[in-house]
Amino acid sequence: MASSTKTLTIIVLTLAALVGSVLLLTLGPRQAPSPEHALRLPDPKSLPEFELLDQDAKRITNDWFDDQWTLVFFGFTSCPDICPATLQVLSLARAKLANEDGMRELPEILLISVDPGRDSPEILKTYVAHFGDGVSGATGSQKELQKLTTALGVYFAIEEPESIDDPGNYNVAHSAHVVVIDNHGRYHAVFSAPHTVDAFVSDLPILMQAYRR
Amino acid sequence: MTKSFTVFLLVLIAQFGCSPSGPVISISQLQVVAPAPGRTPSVAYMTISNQGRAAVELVAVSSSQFARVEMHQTVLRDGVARMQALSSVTIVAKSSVAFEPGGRHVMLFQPTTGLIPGAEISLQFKFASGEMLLITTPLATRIPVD
Repeated sequence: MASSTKTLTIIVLTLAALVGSVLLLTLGPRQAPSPEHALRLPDPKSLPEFELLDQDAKRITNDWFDDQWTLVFFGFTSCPDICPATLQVLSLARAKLANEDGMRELPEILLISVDPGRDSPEILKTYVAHFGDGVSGATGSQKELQKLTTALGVYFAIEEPESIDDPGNYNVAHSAHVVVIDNHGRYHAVFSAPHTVDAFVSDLPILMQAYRR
Repeated sequence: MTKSFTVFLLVLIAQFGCSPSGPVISISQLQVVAPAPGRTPSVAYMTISNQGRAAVELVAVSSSQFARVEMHQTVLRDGVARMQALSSVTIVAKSSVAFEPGGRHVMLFQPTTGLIPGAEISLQFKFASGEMLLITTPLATRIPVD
């Protein structure tokens, strides 16, 4: 008799532990998913005040970033390889996200040219239109560009022309990462190069969802 | 008898260094991409395979449809992208070298004719051995990315 009471007690306790575990897993606090590819800043960082010109020669200041998520890439339009390839990746990722269920908003894409000597707003306008919807371009003085690049950990340097006979044919070394600016205009996360469409498609919903809580 | 003949054949192949099944150097996945309107240069990507038993060296790419063609490589170091000119590219035996976005690429400057999407573009690949390969592909407007 004592033995059967003991067995019953063990069964009841085991069942209680099982039910408790299930309840904890289903009703307990959930761990928010983390991005796999992007590096999220522990605390989003406000940007310094800046002023650039967009592809329509309109002033862009900090409030341009408000109420939207933006993927910012620093490059230049005479760049034959990594700049168009990166913009192509971002544009394809945006198009893929547009077809995903539950994506209530799409990120904007902004190319900031670090070659203001060659990239006028007119040139930027034709260039960004080539990459489809949601792509804008901007540039500005060295001083204004440096305010942003310093805050965002971006390096750029105009290199010597390959030939003194062709001074307009020069390359610009530049950081290849993509910066994520959140809908409060803050530096939120960064994607390191090399870039893939899948990395943006998988991580952007996680990054953007985090701020809906 | 059959064994002796096989050995003879193997010796012949080894002697002349040629593959019994097709060319030693081949170029695949060639894509020539026009730049955004009003910008320059165009860019080309491809894979060069060397099925031979010795390394081959690509020394130049040219096209009658462009005034200047150069080989370059985007080098990513500490997160910063820089371009470096390549004077030649070696493809070691039994291997291939990819020219792909964010890496090696061919730059095509000053088109001698209008860049019409879909128009046939011919590139000539010259190797140190003197071998030349002429490949033609339609002009694309988008860089191939994953």
